[in-house]
Amino acid sequence: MSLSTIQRVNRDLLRPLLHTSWRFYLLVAFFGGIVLTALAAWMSQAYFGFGITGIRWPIYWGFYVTSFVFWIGISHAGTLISAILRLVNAGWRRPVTRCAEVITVFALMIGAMFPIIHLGRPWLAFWLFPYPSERQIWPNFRSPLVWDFFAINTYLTGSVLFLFLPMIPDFAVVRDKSTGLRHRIYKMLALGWRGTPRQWHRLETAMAIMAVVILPVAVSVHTIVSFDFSMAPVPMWQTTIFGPYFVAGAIFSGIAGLVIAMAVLRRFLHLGDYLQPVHFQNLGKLLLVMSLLWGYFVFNERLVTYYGNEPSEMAVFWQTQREEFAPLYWTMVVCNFVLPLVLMGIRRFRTITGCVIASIGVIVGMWLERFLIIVPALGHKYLPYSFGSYRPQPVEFIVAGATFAAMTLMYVLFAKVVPIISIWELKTGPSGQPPIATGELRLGHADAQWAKAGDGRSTARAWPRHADEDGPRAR
Amino acid sequence: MKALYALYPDGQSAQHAVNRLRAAGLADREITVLSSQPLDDYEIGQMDKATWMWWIASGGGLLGMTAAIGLAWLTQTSWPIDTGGLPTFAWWPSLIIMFELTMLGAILATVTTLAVGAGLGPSSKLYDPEVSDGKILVGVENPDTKGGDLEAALSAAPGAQIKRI
Repeated sequence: MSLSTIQRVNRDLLRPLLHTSWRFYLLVAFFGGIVLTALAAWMSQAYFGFGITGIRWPIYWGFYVTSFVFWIGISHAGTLISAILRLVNAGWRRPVTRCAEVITVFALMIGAMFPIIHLGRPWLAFWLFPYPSERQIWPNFRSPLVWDFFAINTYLTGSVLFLFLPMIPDFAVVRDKSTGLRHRIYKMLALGWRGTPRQWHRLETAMAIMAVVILPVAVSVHTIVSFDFSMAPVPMWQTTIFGPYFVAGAIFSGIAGLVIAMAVLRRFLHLGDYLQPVHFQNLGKLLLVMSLLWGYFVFNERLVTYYGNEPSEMAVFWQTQREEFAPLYWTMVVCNFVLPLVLMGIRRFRTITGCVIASIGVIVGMWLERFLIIVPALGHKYLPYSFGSYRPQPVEFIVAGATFAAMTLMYVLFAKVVPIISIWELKTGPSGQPPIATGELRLGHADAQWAKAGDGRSTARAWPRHADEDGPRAR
Repeated sequence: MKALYALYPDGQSAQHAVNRLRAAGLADREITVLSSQPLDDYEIGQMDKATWMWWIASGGGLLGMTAAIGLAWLTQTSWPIDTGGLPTFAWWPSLIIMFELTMLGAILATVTTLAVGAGLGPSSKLYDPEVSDGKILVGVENPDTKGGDLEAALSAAPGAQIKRI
């Protein structure tokens, strides 16, 4: 990459950090206001008690646990996508990885809040922690809730570090480009980074190890979240398919969240040269694959239940297929399967707009999926005397809805203080390979391009030189 | 700290300069190379590559697993509930705790090794902010009497911008 291109990359990606427009303050005020409203609603819930919510016997898990599972699922966007693409050294990942990793960290933070929001007496949340109390009563280590505690905290720690480590060289760039207080802050964050070959090797090795380690942790997290359900003797919950079903759903919703975040960043931070249509097309293809996988799991789950014809399970089954919850169920099927299949399956619809529409549908559909796993089953457990229904109350709508505002707010603040696209990774790449994806980097297309060159020794040499020389957009 | 260094516009020139410095009798450990991106395509990018990080990460994982076994055993046997003749300490449900702490141990060991191995932390070593603009710095900290030779070696490569502090 030429010096002028490097300087342009620095300039483009540091612009949001070094210059603040009125739109930033407006966004912060708007989303901050929603978050404060939700905080007030939650405090009123703590003051008046759970009577002001719709959570009551027999359905003790409503919007809050739905949101917990949903946000933990969204968190799979970043680390999984980023780690997999890093391990396979996919060139097109470079502008995408940090956008994705940020989602992981913030979604996990939001998800991890819900067990506390869901407590009637949140000030006793520390009872969940494995500490040696004076009564020698430890949390039950065999409980899936304690598994959650360990899994989520391990994943959160790993994800924060996985996000932070590649930010160090970028903090050094900001340090060098800023003055005054900002310079001092970024100097601290850069941890004395200079960019010696030793530092680069150690960083790349650390990222490779982190990618290897974080992948099974990410899979374990959502498997364990699924254990919260599948370990309980509740109709439609106790099934061996829940682990992979939840993981697939998590990746599915995570990709959708990433596409939406990237589209917003592209538009509002003017990052069109970096987040190109090819990135959306690639993620759109992944979305399509995950949609098919999701459909496969749902088909498995439903067909096996139907064929088994076990009365307690059939009671829940029909609730979702043609009774009280049927409108939500079929909306979910349309959003998670039909919409992505049409929009991502047909090439001409696989545009940025198409990807965003499909992703919004998937987000809605996946939230409904979590809701439909929890509520109909709890409301129809075995004996009719224990049947009940759930009517969410305003406080639950406000708190659950505000999590989307919280996510946006944190994302906006993050993009204000950290380059949202990894600057050094953008500059990196084998010689001849363009630093930023071009049309030839489409999934399933790159190999064909490289094969055409017929250079078995170094595929990188087969890349058109102009793409390397001409900067962010191959013109 | 005194230093003599040059900034180069590309990796090829930097590689040339390093080769000249080596020819002038300097060992690799005496040469400073700084860049704003990994220089994997050049030999200078391969300097100081050997690391024990994978092994240390594995060790951290083992340590985490040991801690998890200890924690799970301690908490389950501290309150020995009658489990109908079954063992008080149960392996299967504890495996998840063990797995998570094993991974956590590996993660923390990796990050610690990175911080120590890469020498992260406050430093007063040779640096030039122009490195962030894509320039590649090649230099020598506290050069000895061979200053003239060094300057000649550094300036031989095309595009060299010699600086002295």
